[in-house]
This record gives sequence, structure tokens and C-alpha cells, in this order.
Amino acid sequence: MKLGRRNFTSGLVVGGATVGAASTVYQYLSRRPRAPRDLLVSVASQMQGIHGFYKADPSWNPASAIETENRLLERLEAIPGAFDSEEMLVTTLQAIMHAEIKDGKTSVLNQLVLSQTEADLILLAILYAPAAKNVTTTDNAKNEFAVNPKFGPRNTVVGQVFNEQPDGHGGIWVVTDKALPATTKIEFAGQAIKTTWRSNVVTGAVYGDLLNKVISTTGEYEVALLNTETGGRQVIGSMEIQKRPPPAITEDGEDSTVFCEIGRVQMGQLDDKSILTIKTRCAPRGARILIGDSSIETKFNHSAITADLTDIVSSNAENPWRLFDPISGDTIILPALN
Amino acid sequence: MLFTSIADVPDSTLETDCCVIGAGPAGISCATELANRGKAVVLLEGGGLSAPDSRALDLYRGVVSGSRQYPLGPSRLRYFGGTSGHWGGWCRPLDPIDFSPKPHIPNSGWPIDHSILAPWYQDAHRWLQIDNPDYFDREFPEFFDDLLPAQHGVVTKYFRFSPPTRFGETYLSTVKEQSGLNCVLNATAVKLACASDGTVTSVTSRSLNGDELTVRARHFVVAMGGIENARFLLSCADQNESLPWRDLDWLGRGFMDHAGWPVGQVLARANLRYREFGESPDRVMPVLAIDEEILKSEKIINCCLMLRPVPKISGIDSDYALNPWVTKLTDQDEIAGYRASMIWEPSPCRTSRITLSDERDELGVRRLNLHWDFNPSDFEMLDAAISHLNRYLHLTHSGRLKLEKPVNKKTMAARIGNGWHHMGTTRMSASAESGVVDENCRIHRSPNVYVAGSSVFPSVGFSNPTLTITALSCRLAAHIAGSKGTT
Repeated sequence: MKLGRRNFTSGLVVGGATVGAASTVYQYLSRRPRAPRDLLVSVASQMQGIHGFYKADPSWNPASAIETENRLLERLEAIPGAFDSEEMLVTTLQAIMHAEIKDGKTSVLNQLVLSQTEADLILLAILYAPAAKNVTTTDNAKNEFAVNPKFGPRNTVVGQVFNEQPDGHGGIWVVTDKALPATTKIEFAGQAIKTTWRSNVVTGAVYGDLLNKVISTTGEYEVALLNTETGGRQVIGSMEIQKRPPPAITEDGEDSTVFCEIGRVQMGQLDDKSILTIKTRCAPRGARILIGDSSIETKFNHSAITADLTDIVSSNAENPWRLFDPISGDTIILPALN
Repeated sequence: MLFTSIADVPDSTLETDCCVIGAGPAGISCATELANRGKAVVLLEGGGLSAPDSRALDLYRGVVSGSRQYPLGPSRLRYFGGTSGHWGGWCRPLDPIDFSPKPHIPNSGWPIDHSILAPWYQDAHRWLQIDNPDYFDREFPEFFDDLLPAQHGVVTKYFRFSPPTRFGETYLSTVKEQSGLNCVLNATAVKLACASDGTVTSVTSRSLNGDELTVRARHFVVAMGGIENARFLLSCADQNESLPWRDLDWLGRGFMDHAGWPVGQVLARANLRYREFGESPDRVMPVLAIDEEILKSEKIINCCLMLRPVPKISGIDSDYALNPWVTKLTDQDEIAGYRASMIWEPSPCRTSRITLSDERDELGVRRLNLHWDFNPSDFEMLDAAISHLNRYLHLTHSGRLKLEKPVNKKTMAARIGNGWHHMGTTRMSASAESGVVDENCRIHRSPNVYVAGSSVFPSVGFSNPTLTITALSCRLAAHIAGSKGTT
């Protein structure tokens, strides 16, 4: 069966979203068997005319798309043979769409009256078929719509959520010298991600499976800005997922599953506060510093754990200090202050 | 013979077999057919040979109430030839299902079936100068490849086109020269006189100059138009308590017009021929329609979808429609956008009606109030129709439907269109309790007054009314001519 007019590749590398053919993500994905999810992603990735739907569903975000994906997968996996091949999957999807249309199970997306599964597939395709695939890029001047863009974070290590936010998602920010169009979205790893616009600052959220995939192995992922109104696309750099440093050793003498090796530990003064800084490349959200009976919350900002010890240090200077993760239970005895 | 004014008529009273009141398509065809069958006929027309001046036009002024405006003035033409002076010539017979009572549409159906009217459509085509009355009911036309498949309860139906026939121009000489036919212009019928048994004996007509003409006849045919028929009959009954239709509950009720709805856009393969094409007499326009069995089983109103190509569609829509589950295409095919408009039949609505106001026009006739209304279930049925057509596009891989607006009472009130087809106000019925005229267009309880025109339509389908109006008029003429009754 002819699936479309565009060749496709597998999974996240659709549309040249990764940098370089030797992308570790590609290797990661391509060595996996053609699992149901890969087949579904592949089919969704081939859908054409998807960029017209970016604004069709105000509630769309990567997390909801992944929920949609899970719902579709669950439904399709219950159908024998659906994932035997891509052709079978398309045939199965068509059958489901027909059944839904017959039963009046429709959704309106972008004013189009669609079967619910077709609408789901479109929402999924937005995740996997970036707008750039369908955008004419001949008008370079039009595409260069962001003036002197700066972005971050530019790297993280395998397994460590970059710029982790309170709900656990990874955040990407872009700042430019002039206001961006309100229709700007951040594209990351080949996918338009949920974006919040504030004039010359846009922030993007990377959730769930996409996030897990990205940080599961080393690689480099393009960061771009999309103008969903004009179709303009401007690459502004890439984020590198670096090799994870060796694990820290717990006080039980085992490899920590959440903390990487600890570098320099020092105290400093900042605005009349005493700040403890622990150099490391990875730390779980919610880690705490244990000093005697005191438990102090920490922050992790890319390359160091910090904690405010203003009211603690003087009374507990003689006790050993520990770094503790309440979820895994890993406890690291911190080295002496430098 | 033609008299352009009452003053030109030698006598103040005329005696005749039949008096036909109103010289539009219904009146002219009925009067001429009656004269052809040997009857002496007087044809009265309120207007002249050309468009009326403002004083005459004011006779049509009325008040429209309800949530929608209705173009009372522009939609009617008060001169010889009537509204054929501005019609578009669209023709097709009503569908057989339009004659059948449908349980999901209260008060629907005719007391006659399609086969009764079928022979008269032949005469109607002649009157409307349609040389090729082939609606492809049995065989697919040559251009079938340019149409969408007849599957999943959707079929293609066809309109034919009259030149369009302007009755005033085309049949003026016929009326003038027709033996036994006298036509009087600028003679507006204002009242009827009747005997104690309810038999109407004469009609009085007046001009704006104050002249008055009385026509005494054995039979009277009221053919003043879908709105004016009801107004005149109500007005006469208001003046004359002996008229037997005075208590007919449905008189004036059930006003309908073909409703238009801008569905949106259909994305489908290019070069579909759902548009008017061909040269006369073979001009034809295919439309998508819903199969009669589906109309019944899915409880849908009769309707059709017209597709007009739009000059350009967005690349996004075009790209999306190329997805394999949207359209079955080869690499050579292109996607096009079609403006999708629906014509649908409203259901008979008792509250949609014509009544008389207290104000009188210059000739002393009470003016009209029109309350144009719809049954709420119409919107549900319209929604069901759109859903079915959308289903068809999906299941046949023909394309996708892009809705312009959701269908609900609010959007309908704001955007519903009308066809200037005034129908239903003297509806045909089997009994006096459910309508105004019987199966022969004679007013219930009246021995000798008939109604011609679309006001007798109890159900209207989606076909434009002129062809059926003319067919009914020809049939009515034959009935009166052959009637023994009071003759």
C-alpha cells in the first residue's frame, strides 16, 4: 500500500531533526525491533498537511499527545495482526476510522469533521512530523525571524532531566533581542513542543516519552524556532546529551542510581546568605542535605547542587554532612569543604 | 383578448366559466389550459405588464415577525408573468418520497402520490421550454466519471434548466390570442361573494384608479402566489362569514421556503462536475442527495448538496487531503476545494404563518403579517443530513468536509438562506382538519374555489417549485374542464 508521497524514516529522526546521520538517537531507535509504537509513530509521521493543525486544538501539548499515543496503542494492540506490518497498521486504522464514522464518533479539528481516531492520529503526527517538513524554506529572510537568539540549556547528561521544572518536565528557553511573533513555537528534536510566549522570551516544555527518549542516551538535538503562522523556521543551535559521569558511591559502598560523582564542595556568601555548592552533573529532584538532625532542601542547576545553610552551619559544623535522596534512599557522605 | 385596465373592459360585470385570479406561472398556465379545453376564462392580474410603481408596490407591504427577516417585497413580482420574471430556471420534479408521509416529520406528505402528478410534469416541461426532461433516474449519464460514486446512501440527482421562461414575455401573445380567454390587467381581486351554500358566485376586483370589475363564474382559481393566496382567502373570509373555509385551521399556516445552508467546503479530487454545465436543451446540474431509504431510516429531511469549485484552496488543506485515508488518488490527481451549499426542505410548521393585520392597503384589503418559523427538529435533521454526507465522503474516500459553522439554532437563525419560494400556506390534505385544499386543489368545504401555486405544497422536498406548480396547474385545468360538479 502506498502510504504517502514522502519517504520516511523511523521514529524521532523523521524530518532530519537530529544532527548528523550517526545520531546516537537514530542508532538507539534503529536497533530496536519494529515495536508497535515505532510502527504507529512511523505511520503518523507520514501524514501530510499536518502543520495546518498546530492551532487546531488549544489543549494540545506533548503530554496530551503522548496520552493519545498510549490510548491508540492500547486500542490497536487489542486487534490481532494490527502491528504485523505498516500496511496492516494502516489497514487497521482505516477500518477503525470507518467504524467510527459509521457510528458517528467524530471530532471537529481545524473545522474538518474527522473520525476520533483520525483526529488522534493528527494530534500524534504533530508530535512526530515537524512543521518544517511541510514548510517551504525558500524565503530565507522570512525564516530569519528571531534576532540574535540565545537559548539554554545547551547540554545535560544521560538520565538527567535538563532544566527540570517542578512537575518534572524539562524546560528550554530562548531569548532574542527583539519581540518574537506570538505564533512562535520551539521545535526540539524535530518536534514542535508546548511553548509559552512572552514577547522576546519563549519557553518550551519537554514531557514524558519524548523527554525520556532524549535523555536515554547521548546525542545532539536541534533547537529551532517555528513561526506557525508563516511556516518560517530558524535553527538556533543544538542541545547535547553527554555521557553520564560515573556514579557517586553511597555510604553503603554501592553505586548510586541517582547521584553522579561529586566534585568540589564549598561554602560561599551570596546576599548575606551562606550557600553550599556541590559540583556534580546529576541529581534527583527533591534531594536534601542532612546535617545532624537538620534536613535542608536543595536545588540543582545544571552543574551543581546548592543549598541555603545560613541558619545551619554554625551549630552543626562538627557533624558529618550527607546528600540524601528520599525516593531512592541513596545517601552520599559529602567530602570535606574545600 | 387582453385588457390593460378595468376601464377598457366594456362591461362592469363579466360572465364566464372560470375565473383565474393571478397571472403568474400558475395562473397563466391554468387559464390557458382551461381555454384550450373549451372553457371561457377570465384571467385577472393585479399588476400591469411591467414592474409596478411605488404606489402599487405598497399593496404588498406587510410586517415580518420572528427571529429572521424575510424579503416580502423583493421576493414577489406584481405584474403579468409574476415571479417568473426573476426566477433562475432551475427545474426538477419532486421526489417520490416528498409525497409520502414520513413518521419523523409531522404533517408531512401529500394526499396524492408521485405517479398521479407524473404525467403532468410532461406538460409542465413544455410550458417551461425544457426540451430534455431527462433526470437520469435509470441510466448513468456520460459524465458519470466526473461524479462521486453512488454508495453508502448518497446518490447524484440532477436539475434541468428552463431558459428561464419569462411567462410575461413568452406567453403574452398566447394569452392575447387564445380563444375564450380574456385577461384583465391592473385588476386586483379584493373580495368574493357567495351563495348561502358557500358556492362562490363572483369576485370583485379593483384598480388604484377606483375602477371596479365583477366577474361571475362557475369556478374560481386563486393563483396569486404563495403568500397572497393565503392573504386573499383570509381576507375574503374575514369579510364574508358565509365562505366555507373560514374555519380551516391550517389556512395561512405552514409557510415554508427552501432553506439554504452554507455547509462549508468539501476537499475532494479536482474536476468534479457538480455544477451547471452544457448548452440548452441539455443543460444539467448534478447535486449530491441522500437516498430515500436513508432519509426514512436515519430520519433526515430531504436535501441536496451543491458543490461549486473555489478558485484556490490552502496548501495545507490540499496536503492533508492527499493522505491515503482521505482520498483515493493517483499521482496525477489533484485536490480541489468545493464550496458546499445545502438546499433542504423545512418541515411543515404550524407557527410559521400568514395572518392579517389591522391595517388596510389602499384597496381596502387587510395587510399581512408573516411569521417565518422553523420546527426545532429541523435543525437536528439538518445536522443529521450533514453528518450523513460527511460519513459518505469518509467511507468512499472521496474527501473531507470542512464545516463553516456548527449547526444549531443560533447559527441557523443568523445564517440561514431562503429561496424566495413561498409554499405551504394553503396546504393540500386529505381532510379539512389537516389542510386547506383537497387532492384536486379545491378548497375543503368549498364547491367551486380552487387554489393554484406552491401554496398548496404540504411538503416541499428540495426541488425548485415552478415545475411542480405548472404541473399542478395543468392538472387542475384538466380537472375543472372535465368536472361535472356545479358546471
